[in-house]
Formats: sequence, C-alpha cells, structure tokens
Amino acid sequence: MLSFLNRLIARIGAVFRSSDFDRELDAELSAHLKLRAEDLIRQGMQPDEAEHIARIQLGGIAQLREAHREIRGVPFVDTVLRDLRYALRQIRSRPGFSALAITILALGIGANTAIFSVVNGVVLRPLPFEHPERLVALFEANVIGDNNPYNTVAPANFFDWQKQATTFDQIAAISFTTFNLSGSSKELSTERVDGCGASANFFGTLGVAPVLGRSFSGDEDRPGGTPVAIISYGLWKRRFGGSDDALLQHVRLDGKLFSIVGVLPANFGYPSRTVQVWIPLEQHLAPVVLEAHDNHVLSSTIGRLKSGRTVEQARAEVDSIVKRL
Amino acid sequence: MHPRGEHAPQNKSEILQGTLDLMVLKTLEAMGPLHGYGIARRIEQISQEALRVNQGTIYLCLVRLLQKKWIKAEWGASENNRKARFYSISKAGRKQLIAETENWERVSGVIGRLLLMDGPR
Repeated sequence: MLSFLNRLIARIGAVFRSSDFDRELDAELSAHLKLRAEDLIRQGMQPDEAEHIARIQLGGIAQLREAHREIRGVPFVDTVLRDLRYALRQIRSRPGFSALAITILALGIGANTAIFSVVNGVVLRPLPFEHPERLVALFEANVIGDNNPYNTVAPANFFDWQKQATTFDQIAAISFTTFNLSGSSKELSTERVDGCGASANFFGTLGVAPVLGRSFSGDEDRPGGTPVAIISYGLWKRRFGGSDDALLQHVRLDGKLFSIVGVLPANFGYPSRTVQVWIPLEQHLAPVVLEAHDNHVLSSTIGRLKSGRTVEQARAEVDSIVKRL
Repeated sequence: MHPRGEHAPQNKSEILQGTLDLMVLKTLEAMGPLHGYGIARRIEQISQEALRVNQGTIYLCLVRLLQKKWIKAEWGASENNRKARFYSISKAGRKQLIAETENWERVSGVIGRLLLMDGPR
C-alpha cells in the first residue's frame, strides 16, 4: 500500500519534470551502449560491429523512451498537457483565425443554450399541474376606456362566476400581497415575504396537494374564519428545519398569528416562486372589498374546465353571467 | 515486459511478469550499487543466456522500483570514468525482497509438486 502511494506521488511529480527524466534516461542509455560496446570490443569485436550489436541488444530506444514515460508519469495527464501546449501554440500563431473560431463556437453554444432553455420550459416541462390543458385564466374585459381585455377580476364578479358557471369544475382566485413574517416567539427574526390570499379551492383547482398537512377548508375561507396559513417548501425548510412539528406551530403575519396547516411541494411556484405564505382569501380581503364589483384586487383567477368542455363554451357562459349582472 | 526476440533461439525463456523486479532487487542486494548496464550484465551472466532479457526493459523495471522507493539512484563515475547512474537497494527494498523471495519459493514449490504428479495408471 505504501509502495503504491509512493509510486503515485512519484508519477504525479514526474509529469512536471518530464524533460529532466528524458535527459536522465538518454544519458543512462548512452552510457549503457558505450559500456556494452567496450565489453564487446574486449571480446574481440570490431568497434562498428560492437556498437551495432549493443544497440540491438538494448532494443528500440524510441519505444523504450515511450514506455519509460508511460511508467513514470500519468499517461492521461501527460497527453492532455501536450495537447494543451500544442493548442496554445496554434492559437498564438494564428490569432485572427483563432478569434473567429472561438466567436463562432461561443455563438453556437449560446444559441443552443437559449433554444434549450425555451424548449425545456415549454415542451419538456409543461405546467406542473394535473390536466393542465383544462386550466384557463379568467379576466374581465373593459367595456369602456382602453378596452383592455385582460383586466384582473373584482371579488364580487369572481363569486358570481363561482356560483353560476356550469362549464367549470372549479374557479379559484388569489390576491397577491406582502407580509411582515415573524415567528410565534420573539427570538426569530422578522422578514418581509411575498404572500397570497387564496380561495380555499385554489390548490385543488390546480391539482396540487400539500406534501404535509392539508389545504384550506371552506369554513376557514370566510371573514373571521380560523386564522390558518400554508407555507412554501422553502420557508418550511428554512424556518422550521423541514420538521413535521411545523404543523403545530404558528407564523405571525403583519402581527397576527396564523396556525400552519400545510406545506406545499418543493416544485410549486405559482404565481411566483417568491410567494412563501398563503392565507385564506376571504380572511385576507376586507368584507367591503369582497362585495365590490369594481375593485379588481384578484391577481389571478383560474378555472378548471369540466372534462369535455371547450374554452369557447366557457367564454360564452362567463360573458352571459357578466351581462346578467 | 515485452522482450522483443522473434529471431532469438527457441530454447530461451520469456521472463515471467514481475520476476524481473525480484531479479534486480536480488542482484543489487548481492552486488551492492550497480549501474543499469551492470545489472543487465549480471543477470545475463547468472542466467547463462537462458533467459531472453531485452536489456532496455531493465530501465523500465528500475523506474518502477525507484517510484516504489525500493531502490535509490545516484549519479557517479563508472569503472572507466564514464558518468553513470548507480542503483542501490533501500531498507524497504530489502523487506520487499524477503517477502518476494518467500512468495517465489512458495509458488515454485507448488508448481514443482504439480509437475511431479503422476497420471492415472
């Protein structure tokens, strides 16, 4: 074992002193040839012949040198270093051509990376939700003014759609916000985090189940309901050490205590990966806001179409509901 | 070891892999410091030309032994004042020689007994 280690160290050392070793071997071999030839001459051979025979008996010097290199060094590293030196010499001798080649390579690699990023996001990794083809985003359209067809939805309209629409299994909504987050005890530091008010059916609509605990119940998603919160996987790992005990704990959001009831999967990132806390929508929004048809506070409204229903059928139905209002 | 000797007489034997190490170590132990040619000559004399040693392979063997620190090398002057590299056995080399000698005797004993076996009558 020790001899193996010694040999390894010697081999690695030899990589850096290759020319020294070559010189030493050459000196040794030429001494060998001379000594051998002298012996042969003493035995009565002619000098020319003696040198010739000495060479034959020693064997091929070039092969010997190569074998010597392989034994004493690290062959792979040796070859790579040699190639690298050769490459650098080539680059230096033809800078213009080299710059062009490097530029073309850089552009090629860049383009490849860009295309792969898009393909990866769009084709290889579709929405990480159940039956994503049945998910639709709902918006209000302005009938006056700028005619913006993608206006966010007012809570009262959302509730009307929820109650009356038949083309959807479920319609859910979230309202984006930020919280001052601190622990139930004083020693944990306070931080500012992105959060969301989410309707009780929000996670169910997307087809996402918490990895720990549960989503909101309908009773919790009421003004004055039990204050509960669902946290992101990242926050769970970071503040609660990924422990099951998190479900017995609280977070203080803007000074109010919420019991933790669920932890979302690590890959969940809607509407954004920065969102770390969710609370029931109707606890988040003031009752007066919930009743408004003209306060467009819902950042996203998402519907899951009943299987077999098309986006056009859903659009026609939602339009008719809005007109009835 | 790949002694090249296609034209050599058929009654010469190839060297068994690894035995050259043993031969070199033993030679150095018995003869004291020697240069590469001296080692090659000594092994030739002892074997009385029965072994087919390509003299160059001695140097490959010497590098390996040096790397394992079983032998030491020093530049000096040869018998007729030529610069030559002299090799001598180290303490670790002596230990290794004892171990390899025992191993060799064990193996050759087994082979010897095997070859003496009689066939079924």
